[in-house]
This record gives sequence, structure tokens and C-alpha cells, in this order.
Amino acid sequence: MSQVDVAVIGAGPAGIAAALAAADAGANTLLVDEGTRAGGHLRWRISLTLENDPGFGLSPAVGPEFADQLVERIQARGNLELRLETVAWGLFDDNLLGLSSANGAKEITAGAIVIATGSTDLVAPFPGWTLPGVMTARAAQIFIHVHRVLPGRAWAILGDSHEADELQRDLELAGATVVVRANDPETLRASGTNRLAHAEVGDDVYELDALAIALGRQPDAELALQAMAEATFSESLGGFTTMRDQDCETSAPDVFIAGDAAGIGSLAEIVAEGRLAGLAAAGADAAKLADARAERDAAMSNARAAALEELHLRPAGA
Amino acid sequence: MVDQPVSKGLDDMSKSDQLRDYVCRCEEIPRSAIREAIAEGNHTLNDIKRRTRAGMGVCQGIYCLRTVAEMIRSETGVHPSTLAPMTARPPARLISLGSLANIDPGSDEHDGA
Repeated sequence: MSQVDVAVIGAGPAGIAAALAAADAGANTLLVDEGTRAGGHLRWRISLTLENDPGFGLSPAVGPEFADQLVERIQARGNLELRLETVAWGLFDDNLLGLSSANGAKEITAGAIVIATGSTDLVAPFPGWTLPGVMTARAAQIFIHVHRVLPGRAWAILGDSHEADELQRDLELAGATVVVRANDPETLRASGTNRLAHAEVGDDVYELDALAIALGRQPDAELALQAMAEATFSESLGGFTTMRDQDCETSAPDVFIAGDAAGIGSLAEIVAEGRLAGLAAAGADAAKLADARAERDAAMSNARAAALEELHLRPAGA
Repeated sequence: MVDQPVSKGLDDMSKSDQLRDYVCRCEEIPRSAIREAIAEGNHTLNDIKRRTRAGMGVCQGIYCLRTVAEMIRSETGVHPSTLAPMTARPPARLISLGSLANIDPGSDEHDGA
């Protein structure tokens, strides 16, 4: 017999949506995250919830405050346990989940698993990219918004992604200067004695103390791959992406995947998907599932819908 | 054979080392080693991983996977959609051997719930 009904891995927006939905459907639910606080990228992409609620029914608020309200909601559920600083390191047959924390490693069994492990920044190597001072866009945002440290004054940003624009605004609001934007890692070269001091973009040389790689994000689906879920490559979803049905179940039985881990999406998209995955994992009744599917479809952009359409393994329930 | 990577402190690294375009930072595998492996006929992500150790380090290929896939595409024309990702093996994060050895499956507070 399973030790929990539903285990949700990752307490970012998709994982929180999944865990709340599963608990509300009556499932004894465990939500784990490797970080010290729940909220995932809401805590460093702080403008995402500034003007729009992504589907939680909360008032818009700056990211960390929004995340704090979600934590209160989690804590109000008697059948939902949040375990922080807990790493999910393995997913084995029969939904045996390896967890590790300061108290040591353990294995638990879950009736269903929801993988909501989010994303990793895409990188591209160029000469000097391992010098201190070169970092991903996400690292720069975590420095600024979580640790309250500005890791450089004069910046170059590599990439013409949405993330690059978001980071430029964050850096400028924090008092830094974006000296140059570069689009092509092939024409970029960073140099310095023991740390970044210059960047060459084509034939031009710039004096810098930080460089952010902002080429976009890719799904983090390692646990789904460990569970032998089928995956394929989707450029528009960020890279290698897990195949799944319309209720977010992978080809591994009772293993669901939602949010950026299942393909990079907007906050509204991943929250709606998380809720659907949580309900499906909890075995919610057909009417609730149909409502959640409709909400997910309403939140979804045409681009994501088209990309996900290619990944459907089979009709739901088949 | 590709030389085994040796971790060096930054102060001990030559300037040319610091400027190397490592594709896999964890195992310190430069772009030239990946290119050589592709030229030798290794055209899948797992082949490159076995041949060069790219993807065998701490991050388990999260950061180099796409770069290697793009290099295979540019050198051979093989599109990433026809490639399988590198085989994922536990642990997905660093954990100590001691904690693995001491797993007690019955110790969880949820036991029996």
C-alpha cells in the first residue's frame, strides 16, 4: 500500500497548483522541494504576478508576496504536507520515490507522482564562458531578488529571448547598466585575469564585470526519463520534452508531468496544467477533470497547444 | 582515448585554459573533443557521452545536452528530434553514499497512512 496518494515533486507554481488540486480532491498529498522556500521561479521572476493572477484566485502581487500567500494556502490543508530542503533523487518502478534531506535518504511509495521540476536555463559555450562573472539569466535574477546582491554593475546579455528582456529590465531597476546585448554565442568571447573583465562581440570590445546567458529555458524532466517515460524533441517547448496524454500522464503509469518540466510555457499555462495533473493524479471524478481540462485549454496559447498536440501519446482514459 | 579530466583551481589555470570553450563544464570537455568524437562516427547523445564523458558529471548532462545535440546537427545534419536524450540514471542530484546505504524504507512518517 502506498505511503501517500499523490507525491508532487517541485513546489513552484505548477507543483503548488497540482498539490492543492490533489489535496482538494481528497488525496493524501506530499509536496517536496529542494529549496528553502516554496514558490519556485515566482521568487526570482518577480514581475510575473505583478499585474495578473495566473489562475490561483489571488490578488496580483510582487512574486515573493504572491508565493507567501500560496504557502499559507498549502498550510491550511490538513491532507497536504510541504517538505522543503528535500531532494527527489530517483524515481523507480511502482512509483518508488527516492528522497533525501538533512535527515538522510529514504524511499517512499506514492499512488501517483506529479513531476513539476521546472526548467533549467539553456547555455551555449563560448571562449571564456567559465570565468567568474559569467552566469545564467536565472542566476542573475536569483542573486538580485532572492539574495539581494547585485553581482555586477556593467553587463552584457547574450540572447534575444523573452528572458533576456526580462533580465535587462531587472538589472536596470537594480541600478546596473546593460552595456551590450549579443545574440550569437559564435561571435562572443569573454576574457579577464581570473574573472570577467572584457567581452568581445564581433570586432568590438566592451569593459564589463558581468555577463548573463539568456538564451531561453529547457524542461527539467530527468525524473520522468528515469521512470522510462517516452520523450521527444520540441524546439518550441524548449528541447527534450516528455510525451503525455491530455491529462498530463506520461507513458510511465501513474507518473504525471506538468508545468515548465513538460515544456516551457507561460505562468497561466503551467498553473492550469498543474491543477489538471493534480486532479488526474488524485483520481478526481470525471466532471472535475472535464472542468480542469476546459480551464487548461482556455489558458493555453495556440503555440503551446500546437506543440503539445504533437506529444499526445493516446486519448485520455484509453 | 580522451584524457581524464583533472580539476584545477582557477589560479593555477593558464589563460588559454580559462578561455577554453568547454561544452561540458562538469567534466571539462572542450568543443574540440566533442567535434573529434562526432568525426569518429559517434552520432548519438549516448555515444558522445560514453566516448568523451560529456554529460557524466554533477549536472548529468542538463547543461551540455543541447549543445552536443546542436553540434551533432551542424556536423552531420542529424536533427535533434531523431535523437534520444542521454540515459537518465539516479541519483538526479548529489547525495551521499552514506545516506543511500542507510535507507530505511519503513522510517517515513507517512508509513501506514
